[in-house]
Amino acid sequence: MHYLGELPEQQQGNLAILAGLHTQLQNAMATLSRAREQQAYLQSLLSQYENLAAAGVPAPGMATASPTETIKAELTRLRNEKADLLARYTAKYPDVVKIDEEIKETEALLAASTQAAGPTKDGAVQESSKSARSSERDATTAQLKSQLEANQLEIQNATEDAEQTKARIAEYQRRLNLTPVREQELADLLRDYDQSKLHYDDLLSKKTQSELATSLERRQQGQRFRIIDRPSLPVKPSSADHVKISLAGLAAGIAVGVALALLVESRDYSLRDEQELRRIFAFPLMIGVPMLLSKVEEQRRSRVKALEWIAGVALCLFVCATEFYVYRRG
Amino acid sequence: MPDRLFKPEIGKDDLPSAPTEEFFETLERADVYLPVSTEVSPVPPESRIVMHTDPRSAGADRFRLVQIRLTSIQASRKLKSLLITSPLPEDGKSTVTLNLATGLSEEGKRPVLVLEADVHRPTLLKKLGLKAWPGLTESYKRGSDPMLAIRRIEPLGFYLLPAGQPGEEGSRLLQSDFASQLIKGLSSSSFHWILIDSPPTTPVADIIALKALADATLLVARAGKTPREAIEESTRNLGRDHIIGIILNGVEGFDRMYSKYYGYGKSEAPVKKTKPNVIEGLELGKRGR
Repeated sequence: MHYLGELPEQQQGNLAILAGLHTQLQNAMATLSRAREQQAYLQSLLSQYENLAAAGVPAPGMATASPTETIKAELTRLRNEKADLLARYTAKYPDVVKIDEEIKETEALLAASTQAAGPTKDGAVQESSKSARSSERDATTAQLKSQLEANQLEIQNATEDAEQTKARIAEYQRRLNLTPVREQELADLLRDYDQSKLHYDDLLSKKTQSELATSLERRQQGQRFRIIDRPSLPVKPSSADHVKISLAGLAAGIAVGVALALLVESRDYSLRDEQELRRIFAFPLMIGVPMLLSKVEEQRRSRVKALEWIAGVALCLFVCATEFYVYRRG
Repeated sequence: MPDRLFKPEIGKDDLPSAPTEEFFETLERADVYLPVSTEVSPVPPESRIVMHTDPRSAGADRFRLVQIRLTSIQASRKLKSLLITSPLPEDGKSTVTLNLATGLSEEGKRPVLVLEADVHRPTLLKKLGLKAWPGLTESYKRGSDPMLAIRRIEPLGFYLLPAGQPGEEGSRLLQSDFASQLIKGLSSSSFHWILIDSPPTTPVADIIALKALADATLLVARAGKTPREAIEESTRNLGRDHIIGIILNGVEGFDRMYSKYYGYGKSEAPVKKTKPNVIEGLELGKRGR
């Protein structure tokens, strides 16, 4: 309620109201302007009448015009003004309603004036004309004064109306200026609210699950398990580490090979050299003789040895290449 | 069996086709000796007689060392007939026998006899690349003088009495008086060395019979193949006192050692040809004279 009217969703409404207030202000200013013009006219007319009355000169229009005619002229003017207003506004517009009231007052005045004036003799006519002119002058002045008072009141009302409208316009303008600020504040509040809601939902879910697990345990239904740590999505595949497996295989192969070699050696009970012969036996003659190979046999032996070396190197290169391939592949 | 000595000057044609005992007695009285036929061996590379084919090799040097040791032992005790055997077949005893015979004969200067007693699987003639001639088994069957089967092998310079054709009577031959008289007769002859190329120590009976006839035994084993237990069992069967030594055949690393330290290299030794039918330095002794 603190920021009612300043919310972002009320911006359009505020703009529409502001537009209406601007129109209303225009109308009020127009009414005020007309009232002031009317005031100036009435004041001018009143001052003329007073000046003429002081000079004993009949007012223009008054020498030949009777009060009734003056009132008729005023009534005509009011009706013309009403017609002018009706061309722009409806009959319920305040200015139109005021004009109607003035027309009624003027018609009542005309009716009263018509009853007061009647046919008389010459002397009586001249005397009655003088007194009629004097009373007419007094009535006109009074009428002018009353019109001035009404106009003054109208001006005052129009001024108050315009001031109120201006104040409302300022208020709505202030609201519109604060709308982006309230929008940002609202966004911050909503963000905090969403996060708090997520956290709340999470806690609520955990609480529900905990209650469910507790309930299950109490009733000894379902599996006895509870989630201590929720699973999380792995960052990378959890499949076997190929590099480690390859290296482990290589190490295992080497170990098995060494073990087999040791096993074969341990089961070899033959003698290898002279030193071993001398260590075990004690005869006067213990001599070692090398392998007696013919040239062909030596060449064949060399070829076999070379092939063994080549095969061994090729196998090592193959294993290294395979390990490298697995490492690069990841 | 009388002791037969040989003198190559008498030609083969003087020999009757079937010499009798009286003929031999006649020869003795006439101070005449039997001739010795000569067989020329091509000494193929498969024979592995490095003492002749590659005298500068490490193997030849090791055999020379064995030769020196045997000669040294012979100087200190009675040692003429040497039984060469092995715990298992294919240990290299025939190869050792041929190389030792070549070395001990000193290019024909000293009379060395190789008696092929392995009547079950004779291999010497095949190793030497020679055609077979009647040997021990034929003499045993016919009852003839086995001395007549002795032939000189050139260019190696030693004498060979082959086993002959293998047969079922092999063990019986070795355990008979025939073999004992032959070896005893050879022991009292003028040969400096009698190398008996015998069967393996299994079956035991054959080797026990031969062992009793020889002055000493030289055991041959193959490095990396002959189990130690087999060698120990052979020494038990033969008797440690009778065994003069063990030759470990096929030891690795000698070639590298010799080439590194001694600069020995392989070289094709020229085949020395000696005069056929000439035994230099042979002590011409007369039995009983």
